[in-house]
Amino acid sequence: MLRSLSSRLLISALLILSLFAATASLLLGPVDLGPARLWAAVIGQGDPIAQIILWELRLPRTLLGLIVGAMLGLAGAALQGFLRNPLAEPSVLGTSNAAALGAVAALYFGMAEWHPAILPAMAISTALLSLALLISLGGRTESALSLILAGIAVGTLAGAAISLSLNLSPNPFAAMEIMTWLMGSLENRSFQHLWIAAPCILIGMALILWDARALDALTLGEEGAKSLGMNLKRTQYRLLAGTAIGVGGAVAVSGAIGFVGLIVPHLIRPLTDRSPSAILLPSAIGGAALLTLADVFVRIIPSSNELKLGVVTAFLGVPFFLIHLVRARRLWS
Amino acid sequence: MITFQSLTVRRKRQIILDDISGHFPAGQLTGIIGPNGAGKSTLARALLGLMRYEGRVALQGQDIAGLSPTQLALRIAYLPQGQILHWPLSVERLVSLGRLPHLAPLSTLNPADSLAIEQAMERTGVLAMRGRDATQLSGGERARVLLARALASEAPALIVDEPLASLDPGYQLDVMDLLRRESQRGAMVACVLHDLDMALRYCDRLILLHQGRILSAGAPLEVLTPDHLRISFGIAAQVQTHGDEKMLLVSGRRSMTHSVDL
Repeated sequence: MLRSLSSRLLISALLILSLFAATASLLLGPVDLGPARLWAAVIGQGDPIAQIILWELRLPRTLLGLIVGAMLGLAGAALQGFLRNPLAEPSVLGTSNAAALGAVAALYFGMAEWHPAILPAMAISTALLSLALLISLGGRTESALSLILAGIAVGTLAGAAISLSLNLSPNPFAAMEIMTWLMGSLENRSFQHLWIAAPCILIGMALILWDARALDALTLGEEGAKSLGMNLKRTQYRLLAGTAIGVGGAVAVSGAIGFVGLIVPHLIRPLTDRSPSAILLPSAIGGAALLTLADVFVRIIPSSNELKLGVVTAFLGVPFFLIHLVRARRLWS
Repeated sequence: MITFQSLTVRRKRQIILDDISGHFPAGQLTGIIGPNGAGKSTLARALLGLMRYEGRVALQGQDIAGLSPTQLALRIAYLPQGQILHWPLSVERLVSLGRLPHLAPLSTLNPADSLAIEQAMERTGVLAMRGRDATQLSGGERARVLLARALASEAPALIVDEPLASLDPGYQLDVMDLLRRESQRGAMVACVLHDLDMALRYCDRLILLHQGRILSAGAPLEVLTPDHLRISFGIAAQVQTHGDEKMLLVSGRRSMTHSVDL
């Protein structure tokens, strides 16, 4: 919701940052495409190699970075508001782990090789299964605490199953493949991945943005929100479904990328009026910019193996987060 | 006016409110009093439809069961116990939350909303702190800000649950003055109170709950009799009058193992 001039300014600035990140992501990589070669490829001229790099490799990767980052940022912002907990992020509901479990199962049983869509499809299915489990365990009450506890149970169960698959993996290569996928990456993703993730993410975002007002009302606690006419049960179902579908779709194509959902709302909050609804849209755009920039960083940093995106977001995230906590300590003490 | 008839509230097998009937008139400040566990907050929450109940609660003769949560929120404002505030919003932003029931989907605050917010802040004397972080205020300031949030909804009825907890005596008087002023403006104000002295001094009517039933309801002097106070609170106390001033003199504890003769 565009509330004031300052929120419009913030959104514009973040959009420009995302645009900058996307341009950098198209320009930079192991093969140096200058702006001229890139532009020639964009308008369908120039050498075929540049065209393949742009259309088959960098464009889908960039678009995926944008939408996955947006989903993670938005889900983090919404969950922090809903659970009234500044440490909440998509993984607290166990969704990320559950989606990762589906992907790991696809890798473990070799199904991922049959068709590129199988792995993401299984990841989304297990994310939805985890949602059903979450609602049956903790979704009947509207209490944030029972939901967090149920989410921890679901996430831990999925994590245990992932560990089991590593434990029982037939050979070290299979285990390595699973480990590599779990680290999270946008490398070698095609438009096929985008078509799988984008609808899930769009549905997830719509479901989450629906309840912005209820999140504001929850600032006054559950009773306060209900007395303002909010139907918290419906809010909860929409938010859980939106997170499971959207984050499930995101994890399905990118692997488990942590910290974006946690950090972005914290970076955005001081730039807004701090109400939960005011940080939703900026967190989505900020998440898109942050993840895309991290993905550019992964490509340009010199190393023998390409660094995994999930590893970089964690390394970038921790210091950012610590600095923020030290500065904002008085708010949470 | 809110009326409730044959109101029963159960939690698991326990009966919290046991077939009680009564009313809260408009233009009056009604205190809901009684010892811990008597069902005071439960009564307040049942009136708001926040609890399952048997019986009937009606607002101006209309059964609240037929109202949507938003319709109910437009008619009754509620200030819950405990000054809960989860995010460091500015005072003005916090007060504006009171307008949520008025907002159509995807709309923002219109001039009428802004006026209501402004007036609510003015009436509670918090205009000067409108830009401050509400979590950094003192307990007394925060109590007034949260009250402004409830008043901003411009609902004709206001239910307040224990607004004096952890406030200094001066702030307690401020809050009670505000509630009385709202009732004098024509609102129906119901207030759960622990402080019997404040109930005596400020309320037009009192409802005294005891073990889920109404022990007495009416004018403060009719309700706060030595017998009622002994039965419900287990104290020996009586109201003393000095000119216009009334005060409750508590002389000691009476054994709780009394027989209840109603």
